[in-house]
Amino acid sequence: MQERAAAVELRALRKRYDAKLAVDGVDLSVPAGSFFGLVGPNGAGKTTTLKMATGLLRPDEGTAVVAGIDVWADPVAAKARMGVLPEDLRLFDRLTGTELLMYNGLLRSMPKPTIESRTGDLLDVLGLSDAGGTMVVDYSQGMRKKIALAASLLHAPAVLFLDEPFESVDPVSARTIREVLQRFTSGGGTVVFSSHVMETVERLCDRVAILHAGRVVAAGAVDAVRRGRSLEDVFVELVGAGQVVGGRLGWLSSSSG
Amino acid sequence: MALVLVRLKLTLLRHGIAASGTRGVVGAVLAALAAVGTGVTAGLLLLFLRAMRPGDATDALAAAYAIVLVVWVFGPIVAAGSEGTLEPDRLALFPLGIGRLMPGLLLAALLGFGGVATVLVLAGSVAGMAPASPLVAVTVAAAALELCICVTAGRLVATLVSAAARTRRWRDLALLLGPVVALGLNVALQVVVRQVDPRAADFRTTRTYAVVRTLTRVLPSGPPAMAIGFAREGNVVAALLALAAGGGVLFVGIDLWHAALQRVLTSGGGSGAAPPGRRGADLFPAALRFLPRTRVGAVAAKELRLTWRDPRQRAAFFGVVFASVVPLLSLRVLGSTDPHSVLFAAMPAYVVGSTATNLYGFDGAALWTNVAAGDDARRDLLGKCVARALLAVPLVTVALVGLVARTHAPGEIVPTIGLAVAALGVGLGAGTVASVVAPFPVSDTRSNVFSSGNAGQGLSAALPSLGVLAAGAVVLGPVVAALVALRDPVARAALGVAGAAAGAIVFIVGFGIAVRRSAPRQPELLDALGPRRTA
Repeated sequence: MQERAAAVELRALRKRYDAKLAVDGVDLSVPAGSFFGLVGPNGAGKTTTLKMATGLLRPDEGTAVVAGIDVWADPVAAKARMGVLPEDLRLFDRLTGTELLMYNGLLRSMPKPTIESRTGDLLDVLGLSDAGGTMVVDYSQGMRKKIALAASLLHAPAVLFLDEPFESVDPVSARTIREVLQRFTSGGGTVVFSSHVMETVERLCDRVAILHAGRVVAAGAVDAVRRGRSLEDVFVELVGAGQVVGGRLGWLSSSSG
Repeated sequence: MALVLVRLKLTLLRHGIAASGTRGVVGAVLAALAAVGTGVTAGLLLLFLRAMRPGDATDALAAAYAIVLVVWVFGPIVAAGSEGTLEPDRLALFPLGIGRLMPGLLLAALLGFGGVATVLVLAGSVAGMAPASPLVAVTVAAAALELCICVTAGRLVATLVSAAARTRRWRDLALLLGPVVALGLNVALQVVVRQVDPRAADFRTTRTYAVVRTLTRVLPSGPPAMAIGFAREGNVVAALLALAAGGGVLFVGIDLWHAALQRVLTSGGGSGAAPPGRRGADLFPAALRFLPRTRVGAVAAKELRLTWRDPRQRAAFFGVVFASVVPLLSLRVLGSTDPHSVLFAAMPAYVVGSTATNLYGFDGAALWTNVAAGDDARRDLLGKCVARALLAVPLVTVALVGLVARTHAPGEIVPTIGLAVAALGVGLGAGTVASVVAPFPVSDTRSNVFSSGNAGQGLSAALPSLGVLAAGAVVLGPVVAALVALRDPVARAALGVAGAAAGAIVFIVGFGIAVRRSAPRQPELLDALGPRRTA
């Protein structure tokens, strides 16, 4: 089978925060149209990698190419082709959902009628129609994720970067988000998302990369990485987390409850 | 337990300062100097009580103690300061009895620059009023009682506000308490000051004096002051009775605080359900329809929307209005018929411009929205400047119309508008540069209505504004002086136009510098505004 062109190419990305090397030479290639999962324990460098790939955090070294455009050489052109949903959902939350989408659309120089039309579609699909006139500050965490997802999809990007999109989201909202993302990839879009939930990654992704201590320790098609086992087992083996509790914490059983 | 809470408070303060880096250290040093300076100055002034007649000295002491009480009660709310370090809500999950918590919370409240300043003031009052007799013990006890009453009252109000601020709407409202209290105190002060007529034989015979005298005695801070006054006069029984009354006030205060704490620690927060939204909510409401549907227009509309909806920005805007209006009122400009008084209508433009020194501060980490949508520092900054200008226009217009109507001097319109444009241009020009050179996030207050999120950096955060205010005064001073000195209307109008042109040039130059500096550094700007930077 012919290898698809890369939608995202990360080469030797490196980032240091003071004494901590957060990302240590990450190389990744994400084929166009794929559903790509980035997994790793806390502090593995997932968020830092995604931020550098999306032009939100300048790398110390390395390059990030999205949809054929070097993110750090031509950030405006690259960002026009990507949508971003960061983990830390700081939004202009005193705007209503509708206003937030209008704001996002105008930042991207979209025509107002197009923004209005797409806003209606997105709010309907994401189940936010009744909340369009409510300030985002009054949204639940799941609603915030969904409105941020709507904002990231509004300009019909080629590549979508999502940092922990399913965290703190109820099952109904999670299903809605999954369906929207599957619709996006079936239309040729590429999704790169990070997650702690291995079942979600196994179910949604066709490719996966496991990050540990700022390095890619495994990457490729999900089946190739799993090698017949569950992704969680492979993950735990690669990041070196064994039986850490062992015989300790015996005092927990003496709890008076 | 008390020592644990004291150590916790010290640790929180230390980490808050450390997290803010150099700015935090500078702010902490400045705050310490301000507190010690204020305490020493007030303490030294109180030494003069010794030279006053006993009755007058007691009146002055009661007024001083009332001021200390007001600062303790409203200070944390007005300044959104360190009260958040030990907000009772945060201790609700620990199995701590209220009786164990209260001494620790009281002691912790005393720690800090406010406590140091208060002790210095009280020491000055003791030195200024203590009699040379055993009754000096009453004086010391009363001063200590005053300290306890102030701290308890401060904690009581903090707890009540904390209880009220369980829901977003109440929290928003609580944030407005600061400017409202500040405005109320200022108006009250002006009313008192205006009663002081230097030609009057004796201010003490006025009704205002009688009202203030009564008020300062019936406040919780009154009994300790009266006990000290009676002790100085040698009236043992009255001194002890006043001291006992003070003790009663303290008892009632502690009881009320206990009840408030009980409520805060045992009742849950508000519902997380989203209230129904308003249909047809639009980024461009009717008043902003004229803005272009572009990135500049969107940023300007968002800024103006949030100026009203975001309680932090609303409070800041009230501060701007307040700072604009106070000079008009206190200088009795409105009562003047001098045509030159119309020039004061430019004051709002000066204040609006000079406070634009942290244009990205309220965006904070939400600025990723703009950065992710394509770096465009020029349009983002321009949108913010347009919003600022649009805030100044109605304020200047109202002041101008009012003053021209009062003075019947339409010839002042052109010079005044020119001066306003100059003031706005200078302020925004310098402000945009400061905004990209030293940006800092203004913490949101979703979880804590008392926390500014910038522990120890309140003063240093204000430095850029003070700098731009001073620079603006230096640049605009000669223009104002010339406008006042010149009599020829044509020359004055020409000077106004020239001033406007100069302001526009300063704006263009400053804006250009800010854009050149920030355009290639949008990720760094975002990093400076990120959550890691907040305390």
